Amino acid sequence: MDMALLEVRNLTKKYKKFTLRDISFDLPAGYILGYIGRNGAGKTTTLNAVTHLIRPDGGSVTVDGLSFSEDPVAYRDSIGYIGDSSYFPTAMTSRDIRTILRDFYPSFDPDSFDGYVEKWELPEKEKISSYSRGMKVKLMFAAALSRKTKLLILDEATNGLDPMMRREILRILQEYIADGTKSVLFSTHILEDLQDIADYVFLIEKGEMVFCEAKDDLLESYLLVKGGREELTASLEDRLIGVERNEYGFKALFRTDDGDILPVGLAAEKPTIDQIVVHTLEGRKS
Amino acid sequence: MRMLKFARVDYMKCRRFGFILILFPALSAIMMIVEPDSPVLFSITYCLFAGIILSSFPFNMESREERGFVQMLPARPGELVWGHYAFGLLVLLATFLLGIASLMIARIFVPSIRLFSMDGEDLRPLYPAVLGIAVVFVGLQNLLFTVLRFENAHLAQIFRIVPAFVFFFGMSNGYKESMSFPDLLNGLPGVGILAVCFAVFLLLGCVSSFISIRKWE
Repeated sequence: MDMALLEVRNLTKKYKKFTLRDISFDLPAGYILGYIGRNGAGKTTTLNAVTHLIRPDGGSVTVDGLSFSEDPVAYRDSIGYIGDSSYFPTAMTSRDIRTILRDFYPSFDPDSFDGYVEKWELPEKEKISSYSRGMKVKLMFAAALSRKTKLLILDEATNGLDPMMRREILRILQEYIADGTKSVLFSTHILEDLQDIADYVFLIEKGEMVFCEAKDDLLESYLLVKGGREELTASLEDRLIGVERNEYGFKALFRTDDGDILPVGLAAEKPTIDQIVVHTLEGRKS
Repeated sequence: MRMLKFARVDYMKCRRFGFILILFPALSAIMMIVEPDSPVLFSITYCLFAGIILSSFPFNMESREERGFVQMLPARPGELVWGHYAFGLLVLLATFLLGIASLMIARIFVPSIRLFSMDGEDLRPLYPAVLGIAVVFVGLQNLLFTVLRFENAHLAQIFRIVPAFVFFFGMSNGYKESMSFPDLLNGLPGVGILAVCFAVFLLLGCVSSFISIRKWE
């Protein structure tokens, strides 16, 4: 990776029933990292530790070389955060949000905010509680994009949105990183979104990193193998990842970048990120 | 001052309950007009009772979902809690001043109402003293909310109302029992009591701020 805009090192957070263990990754400027995993795998805990909504027990996080402890105000000003549900107090209006942003964020640009509100036709005087899910997401984006942030963090922000809105968000994210000085950390369940825009993919399971790779390398590293039941010998099964049996045969991942050669006769195709994730997690279970 | 900015955020969250600030002084003015012989400090206490309840609203309205916005605002740890304290203090001052204003309005209709004396006793030192005691109640209430972080809405409701009632009935009882409350504070300068109470309030704010930083998961 190039020089990192977001640098996460050995991040650890212990709860009674869950531990985030030793999470490390770099995200260079101008790229999007998809942060994926099952429910409860530790995605939100990681994002909360990056934003310092929670205090990590160990490890460090820097955004453009700056840590939270060095300058909490500048650190928070450099991050834009979009949550899975609207985080604005519901009794407020978009005008109130504008006032608060102007009060707190040194880099807030009111004209830019007004531009987004007008463009997305967000009612200025209506309470946020009356907004639709799509309008709330747009308001979160307006609040984040009208500041000079360096890192945009999305925590399941595309959940429950219609395809048109999701497509618009993906376009916004690509525009955001276009000048090569900003990055996006994007946690999602909808792996199809990642397929379209992510440059790197981080998979987390039970609080631990499973892999963190460039998306293209990841897609090149595996084949999705299919075959009949009789073709699944014990020696082949040892070389496969996440074997999924059905009535007619099996499906599994085969790693191609460690020099192993696929036996002749088996059908193979390029997997999607979704398939890589499902089989990898399946493989870890067994 | 980010503390005042956070207080403004609290105001925006609680704005819809702002009518309480007007309602209670208006009711106390009506009570004084109907019963001009009742203690004027009772009216002030009644207004401060509403102020104590209103000052804790921001804690109750702090949902987990809001974390991504309010708690993400660029500030140093603990400043959010100081904002709650500033909001509480401003609400209390507003109810106090509106309470006095309502008594003055009541006096226009009933000139026999005496604002600063009762049965020959000088009540002037008691105004700041009563305000000071209410300030301490708000400080304690905020500390309680910071420490216990009520996730249960019903429990939060109880802790919002109980301190206000303790203040109200405790003080009102004093006024009724042949001015035992003035006797208790006799000789003490009202402003001095207010200053001490304010110092206690600041101390409670420091403790709350410290706890919120320590409890920051």
